[in-house]
Amino acid sequence: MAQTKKPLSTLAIPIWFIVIVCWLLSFRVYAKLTQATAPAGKGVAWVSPEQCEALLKKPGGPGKDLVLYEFTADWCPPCKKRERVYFRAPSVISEINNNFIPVRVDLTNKQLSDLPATKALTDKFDVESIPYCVVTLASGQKVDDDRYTFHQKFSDFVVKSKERSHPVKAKLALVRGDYQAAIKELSRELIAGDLAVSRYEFDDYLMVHHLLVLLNRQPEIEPMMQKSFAKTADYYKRYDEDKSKAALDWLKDINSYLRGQISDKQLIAGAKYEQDKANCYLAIGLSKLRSGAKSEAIKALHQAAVLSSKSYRSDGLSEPLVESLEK
Amino acid sequence: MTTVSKINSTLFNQAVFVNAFCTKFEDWRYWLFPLLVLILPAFGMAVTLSMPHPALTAENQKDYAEFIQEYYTNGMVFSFVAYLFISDGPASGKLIAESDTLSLLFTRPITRFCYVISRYCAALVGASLVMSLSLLLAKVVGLCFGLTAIDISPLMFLSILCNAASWSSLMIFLHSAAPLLAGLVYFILYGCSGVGAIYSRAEQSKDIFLEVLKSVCLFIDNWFGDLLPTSVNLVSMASTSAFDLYEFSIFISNIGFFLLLAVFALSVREFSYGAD
Repeated sequence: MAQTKKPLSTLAIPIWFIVIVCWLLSFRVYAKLTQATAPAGKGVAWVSPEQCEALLKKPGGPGKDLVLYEFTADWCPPCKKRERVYFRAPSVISEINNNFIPVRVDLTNKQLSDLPATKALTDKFDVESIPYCVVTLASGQKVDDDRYTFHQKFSDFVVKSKERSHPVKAKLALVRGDYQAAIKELSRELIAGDLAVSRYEFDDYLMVHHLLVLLNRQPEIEPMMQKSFAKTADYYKRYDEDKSKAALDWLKDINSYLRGQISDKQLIAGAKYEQDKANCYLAIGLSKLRSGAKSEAIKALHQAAVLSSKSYRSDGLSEPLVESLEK
Repeated sequence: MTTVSKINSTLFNQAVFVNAFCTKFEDWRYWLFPLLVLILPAFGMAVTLSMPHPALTAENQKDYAEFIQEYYTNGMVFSFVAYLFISDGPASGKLIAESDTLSLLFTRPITRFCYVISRYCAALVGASLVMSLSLLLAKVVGLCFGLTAIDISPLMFLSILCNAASWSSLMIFLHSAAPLLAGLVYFILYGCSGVGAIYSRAEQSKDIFLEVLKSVCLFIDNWFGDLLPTSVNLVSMASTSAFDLYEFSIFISNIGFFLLLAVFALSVREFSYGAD
């Protein structure tokens, strides 16, 4: 009985094992206490919202045309994980430092959240949860955002948002009437029809068509449309037959409209969802704009802006076009 | 004192390992679960791909490959497989008595540490083996249906080994502790790992109670939330993120910590070889 009351004597844990575990646990505590601190000069060159405002107002511009806002807080465990894992990867650091003005928006407490520059950003981007990352042009237009807490491919997001900034710049150039600058921003694949047409990036397809018509590059239009259709059909093969057919029927309708084979009413009647209707109105608006029917164009583009905002996304084209036409 | 002095101080006991790794599988019923884990992904894939399905485009292949990768780094699957090797299952005292292992087990006393490490090794090897074979089987079945994107790179097998290492350590601790305590600890660990996520955008509240509650939850999340092993996917980590010394320290210290706890938990229970 006396022996069974001494269980520890039969544990016989080697002292080295206890030492190693204790050392690892101490290291873990040390790493926890210092996890937010990146090695000096080796990380992302973050600036505060105030510093960013000053940079953007600087005469001659900030030198970079993209801004990356990272909304974060000291108490937010996933934010710390992002800091450790993504913002310390050499590829991500160089990509961000070379192409973006990186802004860390600290929401640790009310004092920091209420700073005018910070509050303006949280209101502008309607930040409801963190971590949250937004990429904008230096002129303020939103390019892309990342709401995934544990985004496995953050490096992909950074690279893709850089690519996605080009159509946004093209839209701005189109609105101010600089068509050559607009088409220069678009990728060769997009102009040649080498990309599938997604419902959510349909405005890019319409923009290419619009620009080619405006720049009198008619011979390129039909091949672009046919290639895009073939690519889209190929892309939708990954889905089941019904979904694929629905997506292609919708694209067929729009293409028929762009070729002048169906009327405005027929086009709208064929659209099932609000997002599709928004795209249809955008196509109608651009068509009216080309034909010089300004008031009808404003009406259709306004409708497109309203419908796309209802489906929680903006096409980035209809709203600025309406504003510019109304001026 | 005599008993204590006779205790074998080696780290590893082959008999315990063999018992955990093979002996219980003499009962055919115990084959069902490892076999299920082994063939389930390949079987599921064969069924899906033999029915009318969308064409296997490059994008589709990527989706399948990612799904498979997630399965083979899923903590729940690893905890289940590791437990199959750690527990005795249907291997009752009778079965052990009939086996050759009995004589080996009781020829001389072994320490609880040795017992834990030997069983841990059995779980680690067993879980890694079952999951690796299962991945290979999935790859072969995938190839038969034209699915080439399933990753069987060394990093994928290393991920399986890492996941098996971390989940086996937790499982051996839970197995060593009293059943009620083990269940409680498991749920507490799950709770701790998720409690911080509630505060994804917490404005400061005027209510002092809510502020204290928030601080407590964030403290728990920060200090205890990562005791529950997280999935390790080295393939994804290698391509998208920096080596994280912090995550590595958590991974490795969790293993040591749970093994140590397992030995202590075992010491407060009546120590017997075999029966659960």
